[in-house]
Amino acid sequence: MAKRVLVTDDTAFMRMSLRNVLEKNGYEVVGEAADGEESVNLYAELRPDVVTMDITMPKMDGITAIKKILEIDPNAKVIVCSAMGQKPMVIEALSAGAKDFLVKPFQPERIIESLRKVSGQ
Amino acid sequence: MDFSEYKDVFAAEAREYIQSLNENLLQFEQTPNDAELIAEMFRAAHSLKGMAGTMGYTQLADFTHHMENLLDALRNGEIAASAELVNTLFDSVDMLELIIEEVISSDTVHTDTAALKEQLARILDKTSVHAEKSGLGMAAREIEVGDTPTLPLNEYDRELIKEAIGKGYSSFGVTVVMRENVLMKSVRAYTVFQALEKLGTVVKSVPSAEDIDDERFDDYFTVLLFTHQSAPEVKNAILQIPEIVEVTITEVTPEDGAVTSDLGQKDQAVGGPAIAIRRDRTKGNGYGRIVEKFVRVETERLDELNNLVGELVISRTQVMEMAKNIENGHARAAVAQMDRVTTELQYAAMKLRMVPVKQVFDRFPRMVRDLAKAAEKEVHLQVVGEETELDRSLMNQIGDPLVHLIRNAIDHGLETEQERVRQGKPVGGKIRLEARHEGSHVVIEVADDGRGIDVEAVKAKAVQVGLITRDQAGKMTPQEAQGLVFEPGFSTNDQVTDVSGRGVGMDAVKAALESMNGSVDLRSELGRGTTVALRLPLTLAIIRALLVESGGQMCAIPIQSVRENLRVSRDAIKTIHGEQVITLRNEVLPLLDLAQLLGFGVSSHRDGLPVIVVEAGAMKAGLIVHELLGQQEVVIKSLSSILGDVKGVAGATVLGDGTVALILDISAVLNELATQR
Repeated sequence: MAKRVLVTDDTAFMRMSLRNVLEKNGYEVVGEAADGEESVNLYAELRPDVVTMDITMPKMDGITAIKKILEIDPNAKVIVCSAMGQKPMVIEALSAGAKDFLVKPFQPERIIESLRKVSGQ
Repeated sequence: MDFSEYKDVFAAEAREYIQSLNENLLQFEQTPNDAELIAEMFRAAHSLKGMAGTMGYTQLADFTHHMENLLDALRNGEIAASAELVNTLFDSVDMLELIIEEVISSDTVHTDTAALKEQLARILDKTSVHAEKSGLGMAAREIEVGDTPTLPLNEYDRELIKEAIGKGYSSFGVTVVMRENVLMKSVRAYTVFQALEKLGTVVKSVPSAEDIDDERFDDYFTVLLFTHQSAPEVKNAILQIPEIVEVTITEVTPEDGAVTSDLGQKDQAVGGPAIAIRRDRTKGNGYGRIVEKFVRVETERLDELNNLVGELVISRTQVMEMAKNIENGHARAAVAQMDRVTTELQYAAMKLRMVPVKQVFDRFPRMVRDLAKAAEKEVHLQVVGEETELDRSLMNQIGDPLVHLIRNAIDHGLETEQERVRQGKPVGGKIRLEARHEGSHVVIEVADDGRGIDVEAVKAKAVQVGLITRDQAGKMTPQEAQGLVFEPGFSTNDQVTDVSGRGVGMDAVKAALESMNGSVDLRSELGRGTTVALRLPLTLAIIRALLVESGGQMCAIPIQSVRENLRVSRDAIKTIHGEQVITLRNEVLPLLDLAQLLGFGVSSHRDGLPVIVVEAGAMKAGLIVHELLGQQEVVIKSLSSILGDVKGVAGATVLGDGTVALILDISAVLNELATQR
C-alpha cells in the first residue's frame, strides 16, 4: 500500500511541487497544511506515515509543530524542510525528533530518498 | 572521461593552492618547527598532484610529486629545515606557478623542470637521516597517503580503548562517506552523529567536531566509536541515513595502528600510532566539487547585469521626472516604491562587483620577502584592512601601482641597515599596507618609516631635468615640490637598482589612479618616512556628481573633486599675471571658465557667478559655471572610441530627461591648467 504523506508548507507552490514529486513516485498525499497548527490538527485526524514540515510558517512554526506531533504520536516520522542558511533551526528540529531534513530548492531524488529511508521502505 | 570542462575550476583552485603554499612557506621560514604548516604544505602539494594527474598534466604532476616527497620527509622528521631547503621550496613554488599558468593557457609544460627536480631530490638525499629507509617508505606511502583519513591516537585514547575493550565494547574506526555536493553537509554529519550516539559512544572524530560543524571537511570523516553492536550492524544503521554512500569500519586496538600495515608501522616509528582507513576515491575527483555557499559566475554576466541596472537607474530618473506632476496618490506611491527598489537593486548589483582587497594584498608578503632579500634589507610588512572591499575591475588595475609603490618603499624609501643604525632607528624597516573605507572611497596606503623625501633634492633634480625653473623652485611650497615626483620623467634616485629600474615611475602610478577616477596623495617627512595614499572610488560604474550647466552644455563634476560652491561678484575677481583669480580665506585661487575650457564660448558674465571650487591632488581652482543644478548619481558611460581621448572629460552620462552630460575629469583639467602656467 502506498505510503500516506502529509505535506506542510505555507506556500501553495511548494505544496504543489511536493505533491507532484510524491505522487509521481507512488506516494499518496493525504493532506496539505499551510501552517504548523493545521499540520498538528491534520496529523491527529489523518495519522499519515510521513509528514514533511516547513520551518518558517505563520501561526505555528515547524519546530513547535514537530514537538506537538511527537506528543500525539512518539513514533511520528517527520522530515523537516528548510531553506539554505537555516542550519540552527534544522539542528533544533532534528534534536526535537525530526527523522531527516531536506534543503530547498528541493531535488526530487533527495525527496524520494529521504521519504524511502524515513518510512523504512 | 573528458575533464576539460573542469579546467576553470582547476585553474582557480590551483592558484589558490599556490597562494596558500606561498603564505605557509613564508610563515614556515619564521617558525620552521610548525608541524601544522608542513602538513598543510604537504596537503597542498599532494592535492595539486592529484588534480594535475586527473587533468592529464603529467609533467605538472611529476613536479609536484618531487615537492611532495620533500615535504613528506620534512613532515616525518626525516630531514630538517635549512635555508637551502626553504629557498628551494620557494623556487619550487615559483616554478609551480609558472608551469600551472602554462598548462592553463596551453595544456602543456614548456619550461624545463629537471634542474629543480634534481635539486629537490638532492636535498632529500643529502639531509635524509635514513635515506635508504625513507626511499622505501616513500614508495609505500605513494599508494596510501593523502586521501586516507587517519585517526591519530594519543596515550589517553589508547587508555580509553583498553578500558572499553575490557568492558566488552568493540572499538571501531568508522569512516563515513557522503555523496558529493550534499546541501548542509554539517547537518548531515549531525544526523550521522545522532545515529552513532544511539549505537554507542563517539570518542573522537577527524576532522574535529568543530571543523565538521563549520563545514571544514571534505565529504567524509572518521570517528572512533565504542559500541556493543557488531560492525555490520553499525554499517547498516549508518547506511540507512540518506546521502551516505559508503561506510568503512575497522577494528582499533590499543596497541597500535595495526590496521594498514606499512603506514601504521611507519607512523609508529616517527611519532604516535595511527589508524588509517583507505577511501575509495574512484567515484569523484577532488576538484569537481564546489563549496555550495559560493557560485562561480562569469564576470561578463556580472558586467551585463550592472550595465542593465545602470540603464534602469537612468529610466528610474526619467520616470521620477515625469511623476513630479502626477496628482494620483497611488501612482506617486508606486513610483516612490520603484525608486526605493531600484536604489536597493543598484546597491545589490554593486555589491556583486566587490571583492576584498586581500586578493591583491595576498601576493605582497612573498614579494616583500624577495625584494628585501635582493636589497639586503630587513623589512617587516604590516598588512591592515585586507577585508576591505573594492570594485573587481579596480582590483585588476590596482595591483601594478601597488607593486611599484612597495618596490619604491623598499628600494628607495628604506635606508640601508647601517644607515638606519646611524640614525638611531631600528634595523628592520617597516612597511605598512593599509586599506580602509573613507566615505564613498577606499583608501589604500603604502607607508614606510624610511628616509622620507628630501624636498630640496627634489627641487634641485626638477630644475636639473628641466621640469621647472630655478625661479619656480624658489616659490614652491614643500607640498607642491613633493608633487613633482609625480611628473613624467622624474626619479629621485640616480642609482637605478635592478628592481625599480624597470618599474614604472610615480607618474605612471598617478596616471593609473586617474584612469580609475581616483587620486594619489603623498605625505613625507624627511628622516621619518613616506606615505602614499591611493584614493579609489568604491565602484567605477556609478558616481555621485554635481550637475552644472555651462555654455549650454550639461556637465557632471564627480563629487569627490568638489570642495565648495561659491557665488562670486564681478569685483571680487582680480587679475594677476594675466590670470583671473579670487581670494578665498587668504588663499589665491585661479579661476577657470568652464564653458571656455570646453570650447563652448564664454559663460555669461553676470554678477554673482556660481563658482565651484574643485581640487585634485594638491591643486585647487575655481570653475565658473552658468548654473548649478544639484547633486545626482550618474552612471558612467565611456565615450566611444570614435571620440577617442578627450582631455578633461572622463566620460558621459544620460540624465533623467534624456540629455547627455559630460563627466569632467578634474585632475586632468587642473593638470592642463598647471602646464599652461
